[in-house]
Amino acid sequence: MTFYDKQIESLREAISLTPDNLPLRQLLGETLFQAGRFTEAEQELRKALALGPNSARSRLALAETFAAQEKRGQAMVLVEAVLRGPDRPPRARLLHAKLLLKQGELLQARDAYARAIAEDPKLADPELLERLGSTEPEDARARTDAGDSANASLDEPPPYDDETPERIRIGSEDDNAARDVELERPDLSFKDVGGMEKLKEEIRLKVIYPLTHRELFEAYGKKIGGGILLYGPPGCGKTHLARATAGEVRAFFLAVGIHDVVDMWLGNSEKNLHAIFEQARGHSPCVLFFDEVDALGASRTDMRQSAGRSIINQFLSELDGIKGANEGVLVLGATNAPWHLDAAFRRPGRFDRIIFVPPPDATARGEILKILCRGKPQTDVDYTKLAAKTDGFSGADLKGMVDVAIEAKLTEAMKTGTPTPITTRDLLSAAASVKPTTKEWFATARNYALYSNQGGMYDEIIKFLKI
Amino acid sequence: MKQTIERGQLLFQQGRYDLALQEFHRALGDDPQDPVAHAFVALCLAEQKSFVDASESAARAITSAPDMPFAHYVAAHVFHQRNRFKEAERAIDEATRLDPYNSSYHGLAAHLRIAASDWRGALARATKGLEVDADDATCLNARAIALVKLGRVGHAQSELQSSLERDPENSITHANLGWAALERGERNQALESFRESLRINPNLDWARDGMIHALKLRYPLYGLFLRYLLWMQRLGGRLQMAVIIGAFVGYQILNGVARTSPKLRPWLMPLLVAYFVFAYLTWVARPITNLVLRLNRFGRAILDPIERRESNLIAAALFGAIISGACYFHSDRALPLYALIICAAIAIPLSRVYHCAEGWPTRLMAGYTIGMALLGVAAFSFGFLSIRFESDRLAALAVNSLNLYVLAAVGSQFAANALGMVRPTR
Repeated sequence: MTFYDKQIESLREAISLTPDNLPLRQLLGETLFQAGRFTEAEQELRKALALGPNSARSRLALAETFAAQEKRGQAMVLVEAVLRGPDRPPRARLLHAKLLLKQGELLQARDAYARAIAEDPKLADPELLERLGSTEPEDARARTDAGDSANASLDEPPPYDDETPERIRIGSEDDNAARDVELERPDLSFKDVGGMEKLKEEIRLKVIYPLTHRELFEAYGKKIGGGILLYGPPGCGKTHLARATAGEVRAFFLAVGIHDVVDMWLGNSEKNLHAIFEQARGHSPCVLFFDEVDALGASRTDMRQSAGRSIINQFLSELDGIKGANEGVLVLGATNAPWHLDAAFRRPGRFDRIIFVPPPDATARGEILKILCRGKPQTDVDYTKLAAKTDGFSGADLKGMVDVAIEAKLTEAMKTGTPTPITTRDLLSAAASVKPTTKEWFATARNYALYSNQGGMYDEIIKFLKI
Repeated sequence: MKQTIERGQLLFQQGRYDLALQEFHRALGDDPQDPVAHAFVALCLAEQKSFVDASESAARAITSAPDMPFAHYVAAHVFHQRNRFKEAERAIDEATRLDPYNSSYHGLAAHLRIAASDWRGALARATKGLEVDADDATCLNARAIALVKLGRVGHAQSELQSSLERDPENSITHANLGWAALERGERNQALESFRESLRINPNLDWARDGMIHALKLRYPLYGLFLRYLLWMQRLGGRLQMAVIIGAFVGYQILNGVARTSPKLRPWLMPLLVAYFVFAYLTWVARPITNLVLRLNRFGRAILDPIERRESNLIAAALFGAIISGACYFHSDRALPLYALIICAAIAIPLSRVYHCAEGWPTRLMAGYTIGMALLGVAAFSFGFLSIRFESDRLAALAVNSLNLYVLAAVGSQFAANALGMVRPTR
């Protein structure tokens, strides 16, 4: 038994007697970290953070644990939270420098390192210094320039998937009583979104240029912020696109899901909703993303009579920024059922840009399939042919199709004992067994476009379906 | 626990049945006997068309709380959707017995009476529901349907109008008003009501159907056809069949009289021809007018793919009949006459295939049509070969198979009517 093991054991014993002892838990976490037992350290430190959500010590230790496990996105969120707080240990700056360097933001990394050393010269790390090159602090202008070029050096894009592991719950500084929503720093950018060029351009105009060319917009007296509503069949990348938007502007990403929304109908909704907006305002620039936003503003008869109206009004007044300026807060909403959305949502300054996210076209389908099959055993798969045969498939359907093909291959391998690579034929037969989910959606959407197209809201659907 | 069920109910109201099911299952994890959770699971499953499982969950709800009227109501609702009307009636009777003061229960009971073409019963149940809650939209609509079927259209219209004043965003009320207007032949009023109904709920097929009829009222004679259609609907299952058989028998008798007494013949013949044409048109009027409707853009959009396919097939059959008719009058040969009879008669079963209920009735009708088509092709081939080889045996075979074909065509009317009324249980 090593020295660490003994110490850990006695710490665990002490904690079992006083489970709410914060410093003891922090110490246990740190010791586990030093012993190299990162997963256990993470567990303990998460508990410590739950005991004292605003403790810089817990946050920093957890950030270091994340960094050691290469969970950089989560580490970054925590370190930035520490650096915004009143208590900023130089070690946090050092970790920040390391993380920035890994993200490819060399100038900012140098700056952070220099500050860390200035505050505590003992932290000097010659190896890091070597990789950073010069440590002259750079001015702010140079930093923003670096922000643009940094995109080019991102690591390889994650596979086409809505799930990003890099999230963590952290307490909001402003309102400890209120609930927390997951805050993240997406590692995606528009490069990771296949196709959708027109959509991206529209989002750039509405979201990205106001942030990168702030002065220009200010000169014209145009407020930065506002909302975009993405709608379309399920599984076609609305969430993915929203996350990539946040990544593109290097903003925080705050996702509010259907369960959070439903809870609002039941609990003290106004306060919760306000807290979420406040959290976003506190982390500006921030992309505030409401998934299935129609659940919030459902214009259904049974809801209109109930107390539900007040939550819609609260949401609208938050959007309008009555209780606090929404400067730098971009609200994105996604929905499969725009027809259930309250008409008041669509007024200027709210969700005034409504964008249709269609299912991927043939080229995009080919790209998505390529990403999905990456790293899997295969022999000359004909992606163009597959793309042509999967008309109407959403990204999620394609994923299902690849899963089916792989399962069939596995069953075969179990029987024969020899694994064989995936072929075009396997994927084609899998495609036949998967029903495109967008079809049903378009059957409904078509009817709305035909009979309920007020103010031309569904013109894009009419164009897409060629009615 | 209560929170979970509330969340589930919210999600259910929003139409997110998957997520709602998750919540109710979670609630059942805490308390496997919870009757409310079981009942809502049944409702969610019915929406997802897993009817057998839905009935099972409803039964479980009743077992956990036999004295809870809502459980019986849910069971009735699921049975109603499964077209198992007797069981539904039994369940809803139990629900109304346990709680006579819930208008929704009476509303469902009224709709069950409508499904049985019992308009008076429906009226009574709906009125009972309205005594409990005068604003209940389900009861109001059931009552209006019953009133229209009983011939009190004006009465129904004014009731629906006042219902709209209280709840102007109810798509069913608008559609109901549209059908009442169709009953009176008020085309513009009907169009306006159906348009409004579809604006609120574009997926309401009942309103879409009515809209198609309203659009077609522009065509001559369509009003007559529609009146006949609505009159037949009002009669209900058994009476409908009696009318069809009665008309057929009457036709046969008159035909016999015309044949035996040459004196009456000139008077009877026009009557017989007129009846024949009318009867034939009742079969093909719908697909033919659909064909005409497709000439304009909105008409094209409003028809669903099945209706478009049906009108294509009928058009092909009638086109064949016209061409062979022209050949027959030009050449006076037997073969074009064969083709004329075959093409014209196949339209009858063909026009009904897509109007039978989904499942075995459609399959059976399709099988009948295909069988008839094969018989027709055989008769035509025998006729063709008999001329080619001048064989009397083949000619006899051709005549026999054509007679059989005509018999099948006559039978197809009855088969189509009978199958059209069947609603298979799910």
